[in-house]
Amino acid sequence: MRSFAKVFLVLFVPIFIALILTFYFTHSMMVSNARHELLQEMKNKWTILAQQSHDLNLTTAEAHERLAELTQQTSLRMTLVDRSGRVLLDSLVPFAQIVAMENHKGRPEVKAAIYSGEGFATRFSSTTNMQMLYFARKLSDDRVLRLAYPATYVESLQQKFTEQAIWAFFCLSLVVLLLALYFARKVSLPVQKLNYIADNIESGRNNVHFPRFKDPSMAKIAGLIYRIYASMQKKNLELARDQQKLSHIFSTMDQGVLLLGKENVILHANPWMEKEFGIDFIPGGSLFQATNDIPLINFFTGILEQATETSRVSLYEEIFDVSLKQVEDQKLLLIRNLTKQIEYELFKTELTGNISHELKTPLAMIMGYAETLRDTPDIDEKIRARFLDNIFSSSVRLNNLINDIIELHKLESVGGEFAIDGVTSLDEIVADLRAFYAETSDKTLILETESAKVRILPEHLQSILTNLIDNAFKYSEGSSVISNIRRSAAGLIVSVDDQGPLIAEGERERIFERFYTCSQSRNKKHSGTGLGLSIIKHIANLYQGTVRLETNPEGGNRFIVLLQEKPVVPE
Amino acid sequence: MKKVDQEYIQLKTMLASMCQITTSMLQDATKALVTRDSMLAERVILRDDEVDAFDTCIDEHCLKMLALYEPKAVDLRFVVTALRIIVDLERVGDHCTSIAKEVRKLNQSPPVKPYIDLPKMADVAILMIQDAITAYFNKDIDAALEIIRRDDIVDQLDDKITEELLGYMNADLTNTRNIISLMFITRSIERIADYATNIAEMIYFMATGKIIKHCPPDKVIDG
Repeated sequence: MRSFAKVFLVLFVPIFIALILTFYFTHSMMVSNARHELLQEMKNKWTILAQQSHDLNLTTAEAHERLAELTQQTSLRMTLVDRSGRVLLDSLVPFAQIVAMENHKGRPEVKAAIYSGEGFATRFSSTTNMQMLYFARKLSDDRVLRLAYPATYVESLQQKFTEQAIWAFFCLSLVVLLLALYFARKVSLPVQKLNYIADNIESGRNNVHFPRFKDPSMAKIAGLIYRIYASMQKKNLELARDQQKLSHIFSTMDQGVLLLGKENVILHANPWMEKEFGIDFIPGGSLFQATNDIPLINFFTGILEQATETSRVSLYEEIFDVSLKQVEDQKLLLIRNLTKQIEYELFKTELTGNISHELKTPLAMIMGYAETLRDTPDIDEKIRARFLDNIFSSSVRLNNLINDIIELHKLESVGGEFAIDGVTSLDEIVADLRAFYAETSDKTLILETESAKVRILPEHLQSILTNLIDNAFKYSEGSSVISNIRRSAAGLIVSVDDQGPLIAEGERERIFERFYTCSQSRNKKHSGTGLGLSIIKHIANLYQGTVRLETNPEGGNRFIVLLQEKPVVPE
Repeated sequence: MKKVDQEYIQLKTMLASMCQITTSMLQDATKALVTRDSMLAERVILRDDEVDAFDTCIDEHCLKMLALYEPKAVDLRFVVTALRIIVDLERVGDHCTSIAKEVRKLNQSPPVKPYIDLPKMADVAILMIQDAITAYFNKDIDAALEIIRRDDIVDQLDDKITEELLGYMNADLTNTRNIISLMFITRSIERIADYATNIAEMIYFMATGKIIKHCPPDKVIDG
């Protein structure tokens, strides 16, 4: 629309101004010509009258009468003025009043005639009460004959011409206006269409409509724009797909990806970053505006100021491996949390140490006693029997330890995704356990079950119960151990209660670690492998469950194992 | 990003670094005392130069910001508060250096007592400074008032440790010199907590335009 108005104004305004000027000058010229013609006419008339004035004595009443008659017929007023300006004759004024007439020396035309021979003026006459044209010329006797003619001729001519000119001007203006509108539309329409295309492309709209162009040149330009646009769209689509792929890759990465532009403006951050550092990395904002946390600010400042490409930086007791790559004005940060890996490595080292230690202790005892027995054939029978008992118990301990390690390894290699091929009868397990502990211990085992069958592998359930009940029998100072198996909304709950002593608050988490044994149990009488609770924890993990330790109302320990029963898949 | 925004970010990162250095100095000085590590104490003394360099740098940066950008209202108070905070942080650095020097001396003789409350007191003071700077970045009045309230905990620990040390002094006069050193360390940590309180008061001024320096904290909270 703006282009249309522009073109219209460019076309219309100059023509309109030219029209106005043409009419103005034409009008002025016409009026000037009419005036000039009238003046010429008056000059001719003056010449005729001047010739007659020689023959006539114009100062007589008779002459005045003739001239008055002539004035009446022709509207031509004649005035005779002497050099001093005194009016001698005026055809429009009665003869008797001429004497009383005002001196005419001041009249411009008379003045000009006296001094330069002839004069011309146009002005309002108080005698005739109208606009008059005056022409005066000096006669040979130094008198001045002045002719006056009403300017009505010129005025009427001017009025007539003005009327016609206005009409002509109006019609021409209308024609020019219509033509300007037509051409402006013709010129601006393709521009408007191109503008419409440009606006749509700029706004990022998809499937932009391309209007038709009648003009072949414009159609060619539009076609070119369309091809460029289509290719751009294709490239954009490819770029968006690539970006999506890249974002997807970044989002699945187990490390942080942060791309920074100039002045550390965030260009991209993968979800790992937000999850790990707990701040919103909003693209376009500064990295240091995203957080007010001092250690985090210093963490990023340290990384960005470092000279090397890779570094190991700690934050809140966690260790990160950071790689910084500078690409032109951009910085790419790759951040990996090494805490768990380092912890695992530490754990592995500790575990190897523990296993070696735990294996070596009974082995050393067996070797020591066996060596003594071999080197001392005549040893006392009682001592020999005690040594053999010690060798046997150490072998049992070694065997138990190896069995536990094998079981733990088996559990670790199973993984959480497994199904069972049949339900497990609790009655059989409970009966076995009751019989076993009735024979081997003087403490009472109270086993309560609410369900008859569970969808847990029997060896797993047996392992949980045996380990927990064994521990309770070994370490509890009470006379009874209560075990309960029941179903709840959360899953199958296996609990074992003893009567104390309580496991210290600080050790409650650590007892589930491998080879960890409570400080109070560190005596020869109650030595375990230190793997029992770790095995339970692993079994609980296999069933997406948990294991925890609470204090029961009797002031003893309550171990609670929560298990999610597996679906039964018949073979 | 506007140039002025970049200047504010630079001010923020420099203040965070200065805060990190001063708090780690206090942490290391306390660790050097507990673990009797004189080398660590030496390193703390050397780090004071870093704090002084940051003090000068931030000072110049703030003056440049005032001259070039003529900040108004809260922005002006933000820059002015930064100018005051660095003075306090620089003094915290000086106190840490003094503590480290005392630790160096203390480590030359057997320990007077097991250090339990002293590291606790230092931890509270460290957290107060860190929280004060975070509150400054967040323009958080509530956090500032909470820091002012926390000064009482440090004062109580100061009284308790001083009392305990006086008891040790009465019991064994030969240890007087070491006990005076420990009293000096306790007093320095208490002063550090006071600087954190000063910073918190300035944050209140920055966020509200009101000066609460000479008002009791309860009155401010009620008001």
